[in-house]
Amino acid sequence: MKKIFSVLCASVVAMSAVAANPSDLKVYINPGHGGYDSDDRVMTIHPFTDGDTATFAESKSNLGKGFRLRELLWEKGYNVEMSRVRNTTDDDLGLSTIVALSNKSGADLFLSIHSNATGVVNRRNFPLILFRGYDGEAQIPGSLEWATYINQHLLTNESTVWTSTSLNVRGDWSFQPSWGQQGYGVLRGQTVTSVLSEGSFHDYIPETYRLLNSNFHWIEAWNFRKAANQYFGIEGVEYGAIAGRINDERVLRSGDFKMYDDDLLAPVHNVTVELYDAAGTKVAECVTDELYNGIYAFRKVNPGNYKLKFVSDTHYGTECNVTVVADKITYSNVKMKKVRNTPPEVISYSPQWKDGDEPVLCNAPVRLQFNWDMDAATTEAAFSITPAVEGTITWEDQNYCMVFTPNPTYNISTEYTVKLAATAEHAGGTPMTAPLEFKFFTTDRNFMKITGQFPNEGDKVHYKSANVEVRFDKIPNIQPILEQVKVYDSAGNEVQLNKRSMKYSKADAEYGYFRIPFSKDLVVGETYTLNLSKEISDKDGLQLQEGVVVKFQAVDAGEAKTNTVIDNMEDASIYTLYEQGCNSLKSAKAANNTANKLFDSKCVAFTYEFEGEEAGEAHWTRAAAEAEFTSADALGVHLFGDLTANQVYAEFTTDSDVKYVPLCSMTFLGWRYLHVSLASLDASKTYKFTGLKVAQTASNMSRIGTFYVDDISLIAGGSGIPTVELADLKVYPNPASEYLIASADGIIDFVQLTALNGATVAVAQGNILNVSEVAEGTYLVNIYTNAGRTVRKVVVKH
Amino acid sequence: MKKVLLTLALVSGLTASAQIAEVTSVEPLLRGVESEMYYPVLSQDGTKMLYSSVSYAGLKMYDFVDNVTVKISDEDRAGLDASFSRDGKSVYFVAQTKKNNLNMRQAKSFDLATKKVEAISAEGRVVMRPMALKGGVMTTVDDKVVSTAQKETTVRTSGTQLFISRNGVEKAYTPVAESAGYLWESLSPDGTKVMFFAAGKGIVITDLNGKVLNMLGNYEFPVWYGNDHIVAQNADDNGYQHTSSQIVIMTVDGSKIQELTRPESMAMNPTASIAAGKIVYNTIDGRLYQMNITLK
Repeated sequence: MKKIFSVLCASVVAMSAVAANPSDLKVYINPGHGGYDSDDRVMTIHPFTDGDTATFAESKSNLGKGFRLRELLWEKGYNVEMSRVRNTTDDDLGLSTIVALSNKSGADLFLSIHSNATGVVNRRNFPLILFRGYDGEAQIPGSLEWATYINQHLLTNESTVWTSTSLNVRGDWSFQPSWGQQGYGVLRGQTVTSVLSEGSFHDYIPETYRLLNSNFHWIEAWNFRKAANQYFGIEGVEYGAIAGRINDERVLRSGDFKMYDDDLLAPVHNVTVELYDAAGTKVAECVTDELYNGIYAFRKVNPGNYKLKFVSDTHYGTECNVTVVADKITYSNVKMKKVRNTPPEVISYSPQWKDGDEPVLCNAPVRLQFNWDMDAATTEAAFSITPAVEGTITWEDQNYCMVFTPNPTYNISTEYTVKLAATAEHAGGTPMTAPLEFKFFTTDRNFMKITGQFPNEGDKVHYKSANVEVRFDKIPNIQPILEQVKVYDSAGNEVQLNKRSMKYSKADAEYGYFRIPFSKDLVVGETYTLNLSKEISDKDGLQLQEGVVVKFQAVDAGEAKTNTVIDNMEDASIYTLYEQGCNSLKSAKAANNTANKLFDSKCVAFTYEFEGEEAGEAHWTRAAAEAEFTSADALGVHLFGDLTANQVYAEFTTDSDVKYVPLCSMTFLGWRYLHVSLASLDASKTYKFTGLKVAQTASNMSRIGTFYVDDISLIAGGSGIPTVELADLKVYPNPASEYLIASADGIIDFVQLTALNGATVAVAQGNILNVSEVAEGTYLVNIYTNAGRTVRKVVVKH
Repeated sequence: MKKVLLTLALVSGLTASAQIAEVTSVEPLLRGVESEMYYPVLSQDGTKMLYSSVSYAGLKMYDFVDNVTVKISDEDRAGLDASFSRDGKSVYFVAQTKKNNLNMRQAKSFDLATKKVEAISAEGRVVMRPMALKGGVMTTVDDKVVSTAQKETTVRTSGTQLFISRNGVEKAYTPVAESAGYLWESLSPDGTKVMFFAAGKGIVITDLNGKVLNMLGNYEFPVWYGNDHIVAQNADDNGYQHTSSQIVIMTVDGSKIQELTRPESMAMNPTASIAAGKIVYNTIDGRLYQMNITLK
């Protein structure tokens, strides 16, 4: 305890040495508040519930201190009056009444007893003593001295934990400057030397529990009496006292609140404290309560040497010697060692697994529950897992439970063996009698997988009403998503996402996804970076194996509108479902849509639901548009993709021929302008545009979708695509028998195999074409990219 | 700092349950003369007024007729138990000094004509508020009666005892139990009823045998306004500071009560003179107001 007596100011010292007879003196005690009513300060703490008056109420605590002080003052011969001796609303007297009672009583000292509260998270604990006036300038003579003595003596209490031992004696006009000179109502109008004591902070929870203890009230009252004696120059009492606090030596106090120093350790309940005199005779005993404070006291002990014995059913007994001197509390705070009278053993563990059981998740922690709190060092040293896997060990439940968490995961489909050697000891130092060994087998999945995302690297994203959407093989944890998905512009500024409009998987969804729109339209031409954190996880806690970083560019998909629009997509009724051309289709429709239109007032929404996860087709036909197409032309299509990866085709028809020209694979979300070469059409024929078809790409996320189409154009001339030379283009093998593969320094949109007469033989999205069923012969292969088309001659030979 | 509302609504009186009196005017007193004035005490005829500081230190008198202010005392506590003599020529008060940190009190009188101060009693630890009686004054010093007056009916309190003295015989009563103490006792002007305040219970009206006639509620600083009405303070607080305070008037039987100021007026410490038809009170920041009323 920091010594604070040396800071007495000269005036305080001068006032203190005047002897008087206590029977000539009167002290007026005001236990603050009253009646558990609206101006009371109640703290509902475990094990109490709201409305239970057994929990902490400042009115009750203040009254307890007041009673103890009255007893101590009476013992010394003081005259005492109290403003209340009950705790009802009637006893919560008006401030003017309290002051009038004090003034009338003929008292020499007035003390209003309170405790303090911060009302903030950063709890603390120290006394605050207030007098009327500005700091250092008491309006009522003697009040500064009376306050200072109280503060000094309260700080000698070693059974509490002070967060500051500095004097905190304040004038109420300075302490509450917004109140002006009105000050505290209980000090205003006093003609008696008066202070208000906020003895400690009742919202520092360990102190809250102490303030439930009568011995703790008595300690504060003892210090009030010491201050009164000092003020009047009264001699102290001939006896002394012993008090203290009992904590476990290592078990931590549970609770989510601020704790400092020894308050971090659990108080010990029901400890019998026995007091033996120098002759070995037990002269007194007391018992700690069950209210999480560990406070004990012997309130009246003759000076001399004593032995304290601490006896408990749950802790090993201990003892210590104390010397009691007159008029002083000798503090003896004790830490007791918990009884652990059997060897430690694992009473339960997980994962529990045996042959034939479902495999264990690849991130499942290994939990070992012990019958005793364990010594961390020996237990961790005794732990092993094979095959070796990196991980972290943490402790829970006051060291009763050890948890090993793999970092990041176990290997898939692997049998692991966990061993705990018998060298693991509990906190009392006893080892286990036998080792522990168990096995478990892991699942075939140890990371969460992205099955689709938009934007992808290099994507052109329509600037208006753009979204970020990511699909997973399992339903993701949505709550932290907004912290795990970030988009930045080229200057590194975060681009805001509209979390209120976020959509995500339902609990029973077939796959996991989230879609978040941007808060504002993107800036055309700007390059953005999408970051997906590695921390994105599924409901099992499995995370992505790696984070994702992609760059994309904002474009205006509507800029590509051309002059020869053959269908402005203002009328969905011309598109009818062609049932004979459908397959595994549950439902489909074409409808006008205004919400997502790109041009004019409407676009057409093509909505479909396939029956399964593969082989579905939905086919809409329309009356032939007047425009005629040849293989030298191209089709311009504005299409709003649905991120299903399903393929969309345009249907072209002659009197004797039907061709399906691939428009795109819907690996994107939102509007995109598609410039589609019609080079795959029979060069000898003239076609008309007669419909659209969507074909399912096998996956669990392709069953349901909606794509939108706006202005479709004829781009006359050539193939509509310039012939270019692709850098590093390779087409192999040549001759080919099963697959023909094209690779180049750029993204290949699709590959088209045509006969030498121009007839299309086979087409494939991407860069790989299956030629296993193509008749042997010489062909032309057209390789299409965003930049243009390249043609090579190839041979198919089986 | 709360502003006192000198509005027409305030002047006309605020009805709580019934109209007892009409407030004809409210006016500030001694504005510009003193910055803070507290605890006013009117003489019986309402022509003079004692007042003090917030700490009860010092005592002054204001003469409404001559419009002059007279300093009575600079001593501590002089404003706490001040009163006028029956003839209005003297002022009684109790002064306090500290000796060896003990509070010592002494009853004194101030002659308004000669401006001389004389001790009424010896110094003591507990000195009762001097009681102006016919022919002189009576007080107690450490429970010993000191009197220069003729014997008449008097009332005093100590702790939770009510002492009523009639024909030279004093009897003790405890009309209300379970109180932290009795305060602000007084005899009605016609000498037939006793009023006091029992802490935690409120204003109590008894007969001269200590029999409770009425309990009027938890109103502080009650004073008689004639024989049938009482003026008092109705305050509320949060345990640390006042949150509202107003002046009310009620009938002695408790059947009617009327708010004379709004709760937010922070009006306190009333004194009244029915002879002058006025009530004087201070606000929490030390302004004095005179309220003129007419009973209905």
